[in-house]
Amino acid sequence: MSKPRFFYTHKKGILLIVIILIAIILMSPNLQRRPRYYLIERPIVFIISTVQSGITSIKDGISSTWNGYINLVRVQEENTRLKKEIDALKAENSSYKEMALSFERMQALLSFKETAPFKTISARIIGKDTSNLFKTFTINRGEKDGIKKDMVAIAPEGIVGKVVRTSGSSSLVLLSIDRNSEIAAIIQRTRDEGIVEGKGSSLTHLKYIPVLSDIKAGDAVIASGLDGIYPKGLNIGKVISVKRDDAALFLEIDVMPDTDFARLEEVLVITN
Amino acid sequence: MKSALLITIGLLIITFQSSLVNNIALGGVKPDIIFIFVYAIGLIYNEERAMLMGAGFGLAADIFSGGPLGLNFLSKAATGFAAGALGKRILNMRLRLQILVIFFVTILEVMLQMILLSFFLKNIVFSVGIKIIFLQALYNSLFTFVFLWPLIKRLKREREWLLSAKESILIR
Repeated sequence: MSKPRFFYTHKKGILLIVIILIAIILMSPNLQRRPRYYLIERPIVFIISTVQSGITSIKDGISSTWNGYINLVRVQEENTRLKKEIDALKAENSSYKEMALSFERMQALLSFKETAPFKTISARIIGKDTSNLFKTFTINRGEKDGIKKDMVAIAPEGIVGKVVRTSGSSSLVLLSIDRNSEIAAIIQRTRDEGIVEGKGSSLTHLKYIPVLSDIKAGDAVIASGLDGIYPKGLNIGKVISVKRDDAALFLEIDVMPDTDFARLEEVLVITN
Repeated sequence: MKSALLITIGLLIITFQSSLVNNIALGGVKPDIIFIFVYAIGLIYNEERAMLMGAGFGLAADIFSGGPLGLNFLSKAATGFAAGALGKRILNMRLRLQILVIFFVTILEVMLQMILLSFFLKNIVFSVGIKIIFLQALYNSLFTFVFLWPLIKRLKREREWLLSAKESILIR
């Protein structure tokens, strides 16, 4: 009799303690390092990634229609006499333009895929990180397509990131600009080796370059391959600022990634 | 039934958070619509339900994030608790004050996340974090004002009606 009453009167406190205990369990290192989504996570991943794919397709359709609409309005202002004809032509033109742009993107990806010295699989970005503190993409390829943890995602411009978690039909890609990302890098001109680390913003930070190095703004930074994850020679970015402090051992270097993460829609995942 | 509906809406909101909401990001920061939903649950129901829903939706958000598992689980549960405990008490206060409370609850939520993150990341940049905290708090306040103002108004009316009904019963 007294037990239920105790639980009833201390419901909030008990619930709070239970939530904190579960959070501690969830935050344990073993759970953080999981390469695949657990069975319990998979239904949620499946439902949300399916809806994400649908939303992405609908969004593309709407943006294509919207572009058509914008064009229609402009044409109306230009010439009311030929309105109907131009309306139709512009709408058609806009949809062709969208198709051409998509074709161009796919062609660039395909030609890169053909020339790249590794086996790749193309994937569509269907979602981005739910939080502002991290930089990840969800792609529409998973274990069924042969995607595994630590596989590298690239774009024709350079490195995008690496796969950190997989499920049947989708995967989570950690971008090179995320704070958790580290890539073994080399300066193409001076051959100095360092580590490119994400800053959580649109920039990355190049660490461990000795103060005596001749590195300059504009120097290309590429993957050195020493981390065993990112293949040697892949573009990372360009040096945009170098800060020298005579008292320090290493330079403070900011690197602008070659990949425009805000506009990225498709990626290639290196599978071998 | 109510819980099933809330869970369905919550899952849809998580999907929107990871897809469409990216299109309205300002300076790389987007509003947290999961936060707004959990805050609304806190206002309508009680602390317990808001805490449970917050924990559940937070966990689902964690699955789709590059951050450590449990980060949103704990912070969204805390948001649910704060909304249930604090949000209801300030319903009769001025709008400005309510927006200010939402602003500070967002700041507290992101600060809690940053503190938890400092256990996991050795190189957490607090300057970047501060920019995110303030931009997100501003964006959340604006969004909460737009989306939750009709709800706050309705709850306020209901409360006033309840108080007047109580008074009339007491007079009789």
